[in-house]
Amino acid sequence: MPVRLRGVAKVFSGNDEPIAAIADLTFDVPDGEFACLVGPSGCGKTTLLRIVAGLERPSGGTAEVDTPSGPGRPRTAMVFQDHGLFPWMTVAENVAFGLERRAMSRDEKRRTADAFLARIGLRDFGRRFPHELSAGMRQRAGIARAFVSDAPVLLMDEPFGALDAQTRRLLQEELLALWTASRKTVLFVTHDIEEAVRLGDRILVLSGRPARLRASMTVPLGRPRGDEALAGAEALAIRRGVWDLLRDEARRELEAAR
Amino acid sequence: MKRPRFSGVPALAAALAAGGIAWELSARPSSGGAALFFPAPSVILAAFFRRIADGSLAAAGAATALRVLAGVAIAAPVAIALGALAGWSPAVRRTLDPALAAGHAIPKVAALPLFLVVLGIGESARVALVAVSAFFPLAINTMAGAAEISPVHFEVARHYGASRTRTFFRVVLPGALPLILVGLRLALTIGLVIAIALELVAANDGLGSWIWRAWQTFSIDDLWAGLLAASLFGIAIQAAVAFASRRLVRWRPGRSV
Repeated sequence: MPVRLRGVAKVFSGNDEPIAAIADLTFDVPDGEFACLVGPSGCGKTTLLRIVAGLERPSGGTAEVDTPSGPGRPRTAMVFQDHGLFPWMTVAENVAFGLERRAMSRDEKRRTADAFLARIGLRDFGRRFPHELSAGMRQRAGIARAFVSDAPVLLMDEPFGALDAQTRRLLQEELLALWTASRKTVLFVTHDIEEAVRLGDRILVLSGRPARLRASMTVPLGRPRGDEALAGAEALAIRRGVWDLLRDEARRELEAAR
Repeated sequence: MKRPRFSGVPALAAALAAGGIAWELSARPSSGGAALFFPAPSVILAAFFRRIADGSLAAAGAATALRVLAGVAIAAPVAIALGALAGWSPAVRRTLDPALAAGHAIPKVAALPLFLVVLGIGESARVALVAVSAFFPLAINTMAGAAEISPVHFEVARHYGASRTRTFFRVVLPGALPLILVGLRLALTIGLVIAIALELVAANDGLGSWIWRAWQTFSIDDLWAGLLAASLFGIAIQAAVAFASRRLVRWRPGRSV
């Protein structure tokens, strides 16, 4: 199992009292699986990804990432919510940052980055700066950086959350193409049920804060998933199933925010 | 992207022209004693070009410029390195910030005698005073620039395994660069002011010495020509830093300096 979570808990020390973000999460993500995490907003999904990425320590339990890792090859690669590109680096330099620990010459890194940019239709934008790109292209570059690092586990934190509907569709398709070609293990956070059904092999439904695992549902659809399949009875059933679990949580969050 | 680079120039030119004409008209000899200390712009300009042509004002300007550049060149690496570290690391900032605040508040010109005692009456004391004066605004701006960098960028660097050294050079310095350039502009300008001030009392060359000698010999036109030269240096500093900013901070929409 590339990703093994056993009783992971996270408590933040708030100003007045400790805030429990995650309570006792246990699940595995098997090799090559595209797992989608859905849950109400603010339920600690980002925190969970950061724990798996090793950017944050769990307060309890263990989060293991057990993958073959070569020299300079990271175990996980995160795609950040708002792309997380360095504004002062060109797009190619940003993508090459995924090779930071690799024993490669600067030229080699550059060539690897350029080759990947060409693959995702950013060939002519390598020398541009992020602010010169559209939001969709920026997130593409963010995804490219994660793929170039060749980490076996991809952690994606609502990567398409800020994009318009059409760009989002396009990037979902591109991500699926890249994933199909590489068969990486993916942990994909989203609050969009439709996106989870479109992308995921499995949907992990989390409760509101502190996050617990409400359900783990296998998406009973083959790949590639055409529009017919996604509009079919099975897709509808799982969308409804997830929503039934989330509705109460979402309502509670809404009331609490009032 | 096209920038309206010269949009401010016509307005400034018009304002200068209007002010200049008013000054010119009021500075006729008929207006009495004021014209003695506030000669007409035409008189100042004539003196300025005459002194540039005979080389004396140009030499004074060059001496001052050299002092400023030497002082800032000595101060800049230390100020940028310390400022960047302080902006990056809250622990360093807690120690360094009060020290910077305290040092910045000391009027450096008033410390000139101490510099002369330690370094002797000579060029090194003058350059050192300029360097110390230029250090603070540059260090403080660099610190602010580094502290302003979004935590996400440090997170990304850590996540992809960047070493501390690489993070410093690839994240902290470039991220702080816009404010480093602001600091550089202030450092050069303050260096210029300090150089001229100390030349008034402790140098035989440079614009300060020129201005003081003009005053002592009651060459009011020359005094004004010296002041004009100083303000032209100010414009040159601004133009040079803006040029550097356009070249180095292409990654940021709009401009900062």
